[in-house]
Amino acid sequence: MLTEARWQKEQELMQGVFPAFKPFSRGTRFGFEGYLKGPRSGRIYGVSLEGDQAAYPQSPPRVCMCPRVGLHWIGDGESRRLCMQREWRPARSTFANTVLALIRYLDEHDPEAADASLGQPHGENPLAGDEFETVLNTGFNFWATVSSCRCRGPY
Amino acid sequence: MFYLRNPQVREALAGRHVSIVGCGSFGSALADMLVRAGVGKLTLIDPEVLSVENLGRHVLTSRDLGKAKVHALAERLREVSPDLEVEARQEKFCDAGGLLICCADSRRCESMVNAVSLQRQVSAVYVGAYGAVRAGEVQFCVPGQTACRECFASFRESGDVSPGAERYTDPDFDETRTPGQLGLWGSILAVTGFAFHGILALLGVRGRLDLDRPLWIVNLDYEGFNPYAVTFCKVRRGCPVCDETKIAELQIGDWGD
Repeated sequence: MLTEARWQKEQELMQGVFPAFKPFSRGTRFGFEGYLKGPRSGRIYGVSLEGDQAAYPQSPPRVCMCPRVGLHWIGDGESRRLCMQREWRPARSTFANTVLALIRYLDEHDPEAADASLGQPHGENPLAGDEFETVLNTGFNFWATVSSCRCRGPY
Repeated sequence: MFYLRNPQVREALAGRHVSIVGCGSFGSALADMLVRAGVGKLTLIDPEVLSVENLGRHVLTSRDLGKAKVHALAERLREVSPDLEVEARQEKFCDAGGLLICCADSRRCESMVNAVSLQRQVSAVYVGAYGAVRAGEVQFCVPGQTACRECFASFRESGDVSPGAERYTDPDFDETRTPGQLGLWGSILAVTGFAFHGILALLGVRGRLDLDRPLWIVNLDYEGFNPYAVTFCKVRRGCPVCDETKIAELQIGDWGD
């Protein structure tokens, strides 16, 4: 069960390493949203790490990414999330090192630039073309982006 | 009644409520032992059904194949003790009353049991074996007096109790599942027996539990020295889950660690 002290510490850690990720809290859901850049494709991935106040830190945050890469996605619809085969340890694991794990995942699964334009098994790059340029020029607005994402599922 | 030979123990246990989370090998054996000792109320929690591969390591039999483990086990336990009050819940653990005994082979389930134990300030006992069953492990957690499950498990490197080689050579190896081995049921009963007597002490029925050494490691390596030797271990108390002052120690960690 999430405590105020834990949430404050999680925010402090994220602010220190990934300041571009912004905290959110919606009802019983909380977490961080931001973006990561693919190391090979240069593609921008919208990322959402979402925990449940009743279950965190006993259960890891749900990791959603748009567009999705790789085949390590489990669950359907609202519960669709990335499965990173990572041992979650409530007394050690945090949102911040979940982002580290996601970076490592992208390091393995981000496609080459040429492949990225061909689309992915779970949907095309939602930020391609004009939309992509708009996002870059106007500043990244995560929810505006994911709301127009064509690879529906977690969003 | 079979309690005629141990009326005092029966009297002490009749009003006790124990919840067993995970009714596989260890959970079913422990439930059987507790009921025969005289525990009056049991709650059994497990989402799975009994399958063929369970039969070599379970108190249930082939007539129970395909049935929910909790319902079949409850039926069997009522046959042992008609006075028993037993609740069978075919579900994943979210909450339960009484003394919590976790025999689930899931770290997440252990974490949930630990959280409920801390929140409700009730004791919890974790019973299991790891890797290729070269070591059994029993941990007694009394909120406010001992380390919690996360104090130990979150800092134990995965598989360091018995790393084994199977995980690298067996494509079907699943470290959360107890693999088959010669004499497995005997090993399970040995660990469960140790745990059972610790639980009697925890319940104040007989003996004393050394809460300074709440972690018991049972050696099950029969080809090495001292099989069945038990090592009583200390566990450093206080982690970010059970002690808010330790939250400040949370670090970024390594990649995904």
